[in-house]
Amino acid sequence: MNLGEGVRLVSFGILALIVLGGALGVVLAPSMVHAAFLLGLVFVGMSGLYLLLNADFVAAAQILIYVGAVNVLLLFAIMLVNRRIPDAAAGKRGLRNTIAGFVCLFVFGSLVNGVVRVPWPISTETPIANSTLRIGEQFFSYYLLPFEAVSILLLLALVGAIILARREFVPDRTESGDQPLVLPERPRAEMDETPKLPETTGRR
Amino acid sequence: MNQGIDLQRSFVELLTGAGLPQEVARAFWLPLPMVVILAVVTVAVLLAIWGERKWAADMQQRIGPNIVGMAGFLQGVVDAIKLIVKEDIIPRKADPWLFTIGPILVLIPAFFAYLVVPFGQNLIISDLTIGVFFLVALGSVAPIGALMAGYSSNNKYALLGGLRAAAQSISYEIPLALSVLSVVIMTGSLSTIAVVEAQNTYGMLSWNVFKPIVGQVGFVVFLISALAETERAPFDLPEAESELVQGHHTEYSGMKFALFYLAEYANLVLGSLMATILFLGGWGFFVPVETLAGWLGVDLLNPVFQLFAAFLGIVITVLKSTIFVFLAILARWTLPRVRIDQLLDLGWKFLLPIGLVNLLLTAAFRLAFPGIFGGV
Amino acid sequence: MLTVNFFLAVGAALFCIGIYGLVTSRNAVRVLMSIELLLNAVNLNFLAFSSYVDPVNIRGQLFTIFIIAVAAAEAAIGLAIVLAIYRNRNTIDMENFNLLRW
Repeated sequence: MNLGEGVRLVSFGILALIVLGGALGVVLAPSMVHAAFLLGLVFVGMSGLYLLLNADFVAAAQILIYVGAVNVLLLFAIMLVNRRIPDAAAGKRGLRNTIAGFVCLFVFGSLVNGVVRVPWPISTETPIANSTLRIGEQFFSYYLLPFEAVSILLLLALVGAIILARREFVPDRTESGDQPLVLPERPRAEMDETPKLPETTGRR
Repeated sequence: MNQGIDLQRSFVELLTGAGLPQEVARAFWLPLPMVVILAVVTVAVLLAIWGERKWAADMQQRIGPNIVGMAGFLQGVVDAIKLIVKEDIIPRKADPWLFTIGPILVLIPAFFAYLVVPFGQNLIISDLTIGVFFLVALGSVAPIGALMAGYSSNNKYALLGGLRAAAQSISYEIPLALSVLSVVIMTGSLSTIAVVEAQNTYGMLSWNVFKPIVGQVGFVVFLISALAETERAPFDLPEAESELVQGHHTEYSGMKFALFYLAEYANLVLGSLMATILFLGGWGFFVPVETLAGWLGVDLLNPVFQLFAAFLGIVITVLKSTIFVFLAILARWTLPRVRIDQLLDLGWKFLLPIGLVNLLLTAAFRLAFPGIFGGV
Repeated sequence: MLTVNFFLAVGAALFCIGIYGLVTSRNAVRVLMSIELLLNAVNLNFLAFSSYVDPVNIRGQLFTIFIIAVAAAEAAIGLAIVLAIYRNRNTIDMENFNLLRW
């Protein structure tokens, strides 16, 4: 990155505004769908900040995984679960949110205080040119074990998500009593045999 | 190899020669790549639309557009003007912000991706070290735009179309990325320039598509998934006219629809260019450029020959990608649409395992036969 | 002049916004989004240190990639759980998830 220092500063300002404004929107927006799209904006802004930090590979990975996968998953979940009912809690219910806001401001203040006071051991070495190559070398030498562990974790997550989201384990009666959608791909005979879970009366 | 032509340096030198300070010349250079991208993509899209109409007409034994311009060549321009001057309708119950941003989000990644598409040794806007990964990452942004358009239209067909588009796009990204990764293994670099150069050491024989077994398998997986990524027939489930009206395009008209249309063809051309770069040796001629210089009896560093080589590179790249555009159009007008379950089955149960095995085989072959598969 | 403190401050602010969302929202999906914000704040800190303190070995980038992978797994599992709960109890309000309370 041989961007001029001024360009870097201005782009940092813009990206920080995008990220923080988007994050506030994620937390406060009354509509869940807007919040999810703003989360995508936050992810893109973060990847811009990563570029400023000479981490081009991580920036592209951020776009690929966060924007392309996590955000799409979240949107899917929102659109599948319900798209009408807004999150009534955000921005309302005064006392609890006010206290939480003050606590967060306090935490932010102490964090910034710490950041400013600690003399970070800033390195004067020139950053390496090809970070992708270095990341690959590190992954297959010193960090091989965590790398394999993450691979297994991803595999487990894949299998677990499929098992959790499968419809066969869903009881047929919902709490409110109305009949859920009967899926055409599920044969009737098998559906009658499914053991019914005992009715749960949730405390509301 | 040769250093070719450095456009930026020549441009800056030209302007400084005209008496401008260097910073001002640099500032003049900055917007130029954007303008070039816009112009190139628009012309490419117009050509693709014209080609699609003429070829489709040939396949159906009719003439196709033949009034505006020579052989109907300007029909696309006329259509664009019509779409621009049309009234811009936003449905009353739609979410106006998301409704407007949706088509833009679909288009922007397609344009950005052209940043790393090389047409020659130095005929590239920016040679990123992560070029190929950048292309794959940008391809994953498009489903967000489709979901946004589908949700904000407040129309059940649009929502279904948007959800289908996103599901299809994220399903086929994985085999696409796997087949691209096998090319990256053979190259040992993520830069698009390096990918092309690695394929042009022995001319045509070292193109990735001619690598034994893994080249062909990867090529087929790439073609199918790239066709599915562009969401065109036979994989045009999201916009299936006879089932979903027009999917997430349903409520759009005028300029916003034009953006979707532009994005579709920009993605088609981009996919063809990617196939050219990754598997067909990019700008490379059938013989290495040194041999060509030997045949013509000129020095490799002769400026006229360099200019000729650069020109030849552009022509070759365009010709090769035209083949793929033609293949996509051929598929669209000859094959029936698949069902959604067939589509997802093909992606997850067929292409994904094949892609994984192909990746493993590529890695193994590279270790076993480093001479052929680009090992050290 | 862009120093490491700028990035750390943005990371801290993002972290606090995430904490606020985590504490106050009742919608399970929004809670998941807040967790993503927290993880992103952590990533930003890692990369800032990687760039300013350890620019040769870039270990921060490695950790960021690990975090991104774990976050993807977390999002997939979390959303699957939310969907399962929604199918069983027809709500995604965090305050109604009290099945395991007694």
